[in-house]
Amino acid sequence: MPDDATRTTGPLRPVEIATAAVMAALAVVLTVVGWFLPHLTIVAAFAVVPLGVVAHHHRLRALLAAMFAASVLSFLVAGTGTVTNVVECAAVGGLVGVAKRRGWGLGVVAAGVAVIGPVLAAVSVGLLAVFAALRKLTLAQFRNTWKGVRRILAGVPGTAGLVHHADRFVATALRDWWATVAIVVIAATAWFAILGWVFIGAVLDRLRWIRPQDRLELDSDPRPPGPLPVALHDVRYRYPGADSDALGPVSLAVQPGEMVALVGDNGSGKSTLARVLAGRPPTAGKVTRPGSAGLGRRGGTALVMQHPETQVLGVRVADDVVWGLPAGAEVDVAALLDAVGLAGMGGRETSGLSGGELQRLAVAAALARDPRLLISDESTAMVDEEGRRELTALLRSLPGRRGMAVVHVTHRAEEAAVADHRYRLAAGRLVPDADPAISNGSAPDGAPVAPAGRPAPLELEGVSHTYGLGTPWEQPALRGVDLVVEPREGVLVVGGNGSGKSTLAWIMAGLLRPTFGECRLGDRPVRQQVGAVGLAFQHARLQLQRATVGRDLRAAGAPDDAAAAAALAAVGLPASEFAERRVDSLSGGEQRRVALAGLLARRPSVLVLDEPLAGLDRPARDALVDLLAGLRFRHGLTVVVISHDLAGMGKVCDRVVRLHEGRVVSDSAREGAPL
Amino acid sequence: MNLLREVKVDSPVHRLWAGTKLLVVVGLSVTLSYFPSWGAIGLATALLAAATLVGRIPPGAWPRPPRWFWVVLVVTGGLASVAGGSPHVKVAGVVLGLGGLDDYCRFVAVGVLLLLAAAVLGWTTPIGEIAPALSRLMWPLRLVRLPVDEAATAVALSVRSLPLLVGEMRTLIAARRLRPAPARPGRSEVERWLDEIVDLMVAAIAVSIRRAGELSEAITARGGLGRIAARVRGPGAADVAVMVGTAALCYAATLFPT
Repeated sequence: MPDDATRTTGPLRPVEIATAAVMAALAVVLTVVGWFLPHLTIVAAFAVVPLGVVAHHHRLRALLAAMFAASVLSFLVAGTGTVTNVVECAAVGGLVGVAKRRGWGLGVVAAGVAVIGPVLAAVSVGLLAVFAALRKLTLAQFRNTWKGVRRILAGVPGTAGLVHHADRFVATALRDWWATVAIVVIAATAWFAILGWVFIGAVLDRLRWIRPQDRLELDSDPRPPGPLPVALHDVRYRYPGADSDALGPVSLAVQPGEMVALVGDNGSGKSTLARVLAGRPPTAGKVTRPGSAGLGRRGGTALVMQHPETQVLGVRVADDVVWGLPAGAEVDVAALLDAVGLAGMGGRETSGLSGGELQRLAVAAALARDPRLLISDESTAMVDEEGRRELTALLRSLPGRRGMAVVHVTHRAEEAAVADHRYRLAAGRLVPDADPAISNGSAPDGAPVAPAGRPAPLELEGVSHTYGLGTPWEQPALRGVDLVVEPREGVLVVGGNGSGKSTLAWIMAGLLRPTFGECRLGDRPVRQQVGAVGLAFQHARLQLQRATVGRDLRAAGAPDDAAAAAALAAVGLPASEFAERRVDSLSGGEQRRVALAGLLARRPSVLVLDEPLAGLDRPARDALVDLLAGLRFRHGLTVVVISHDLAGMGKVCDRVVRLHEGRVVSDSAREGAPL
Repeated sequence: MNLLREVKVDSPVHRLWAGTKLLVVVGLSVTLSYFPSWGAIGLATALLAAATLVGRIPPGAWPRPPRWFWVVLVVTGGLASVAGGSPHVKVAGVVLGLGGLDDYCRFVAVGVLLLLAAAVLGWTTPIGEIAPALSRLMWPLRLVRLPVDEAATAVALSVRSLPLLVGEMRTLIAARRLRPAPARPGRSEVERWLDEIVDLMVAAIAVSIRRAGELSEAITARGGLGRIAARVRGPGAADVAVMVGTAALCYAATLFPT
């Protein structure tokens, strides 16, 4: 249910502008696809849906921002024609979105169309009246095409009557062009409205409990920033609508000039504690500070978060460092980049940086505000080993260099080892430093999901792939990879940023055709048997494409409910509990498992996993590794894991292949050295 | 789709302010739309050809239209030529009416030139410079108290999200390809097809909402909205020269009969 915040006036809040921007980008993608691919023209009409979602969750000002951004972007990509589609979709999407929010019925929407349609028609006719020469040229095209068709049909017997009628119709339509345009625009508006009503309604219904959420809040404390020294006294926190406290009671203190580590598994409350330290008022207990927490303000608190990609707001490194600073605030960008080890990279584009570099850039942006307290909320979770080391060293150096305090939240004990003070959290409380092993998900069991068909080796022969071959954006990803994966092998493909490992995964699954060479499963190319090699993407939600787990497994290829249950059992999720669950109610780890089950439903002989352990804590990782080992040894699958990390896959993979800049630089099978 | 991607070379066109290029594109678009005469088309072609050459855009950057595009082009052109109309031309004893073909060629030329203008802008401008330039160009709107900075920030954030979204759509489609074609149980074909579209849309929007949440947290962690660019550029001498030259060219284009 939308909250009362939608009725505030004034500038857009971060969650509003973020939703507007992301949905605008989605609308642009849909519009441009529909524009350039005529057989997919209807896709452009689906731009109603994201814009409708904006209108549903937020106020009109956000929709206007989305419409503006989408118009500018689509104009730059594909010209004025797409802008008309965007404006039309924004108008109709806005109408339907607001109607859904207020509970209006189809009748009100029809009335809205009766108003919007003529307005848009009037604007179109007005523009065509002003640009008279172009209008006449366009009308001439219709007239000439018809005349050409008529000339050709003149030779065909029996069509004289039809041609005569059609001729009069075309002549009238072109002479009274304003009426024709008005009718077309109003009809299009009605058509978009129907489409919008059906699809926006369906989408909103399914995503009822997911709404754009900002789990942080802008600091409303009027005192000037003064976050340190901070002391928490018996602090508790309970999320709105929850049955029990996520955190508490917790008492601790942070002094300037020290590094504090908060260790714990997922769900232990460490993120909640980080948010409380960043300024979120607790539901019970007291937090004492000399001033306000000042999140994002000069001399206050800075927060570096888990996901490297979405934390970056600027397209270029230098722009990202200053992003969000008050207008007129000057910082020494070069010095900041130097301090985090990104010296001289100010002009680089952020899309080319590795995860570790992006996180260091986030630290630089945080340091631009000269904070007294820097909180790193699992900033090392999605970063490879080398990046983690550099990032931890950087965090360690900050208190000494700048007299600030650093709170580092992590689930890795080795990162906590460098801190001055360590606190371990479990189930929302501080516990002594013993290691409680909590298992996440039960062990896999059940009947094996053996691969269909005879086991065959996966061969890559001379595979090279270059993106954008022949264009100025040519980017070689793989150069001459020769690899043979035998049945039932467990291979770990390791490589850093830009090594080509994701490209390799797509080629192995048959989703990408290499520019040279071939990938074969058995004797046929994989491209002709898409689905025989399962590929688990890093972003599991994109692989779950139906409303409930059961329907998703059926759509993924399970021939009946028994097969779906077997696939679920193979990933350690009991079918009785999970078959009817909605996919959006699953946790991240559960979504990953259901995605795996979906792949297993097709009984593949090879399973390729792209970064399966990213972002998981120790118990979840152990459980997943056990699961993969079971798939390999009990069920006889070939498992290929693509990762930037060596650690942790010893149980599953006994062969390590290293990729560097698109080439295989080492292969433990060839050298005879086990992992 | 290689539009709105910068070709990374250095050239005088690349060094121009993004706002200048935006104004040139808009100016050319308006002029061509208002005066689609052969003279105007010729001048616009000359301008864009010069921009492409001076901007050192390699031929590989040009989009390669698929085969059906050329087929449609030829077929409609053929129909238009058969239509006849003035001017008439005598060829080997036969009078041909070239009016239809003339209109058609002008129509296609205007369309292509409009697309080309936007493409040259995309090829020669780092994409992060567009939102700040837009913010500067819209300064008159500040006088009427419109939220110019907010609009420019929305554009900047959209630009930032675009590559992430394209990647997600690709993954979504790839994940769909890994699945078998839908089986045929009792429901009607149309219903199943609708279901599938809704499911794909839900997946896309669920992921986008999550991205929006993360983006908004990143903004809040930085204390809200504010600056979007490190170096605030403005027009220089070269920019003024280009703007004046384009204005002159547009004026000259209006002098040709339509």
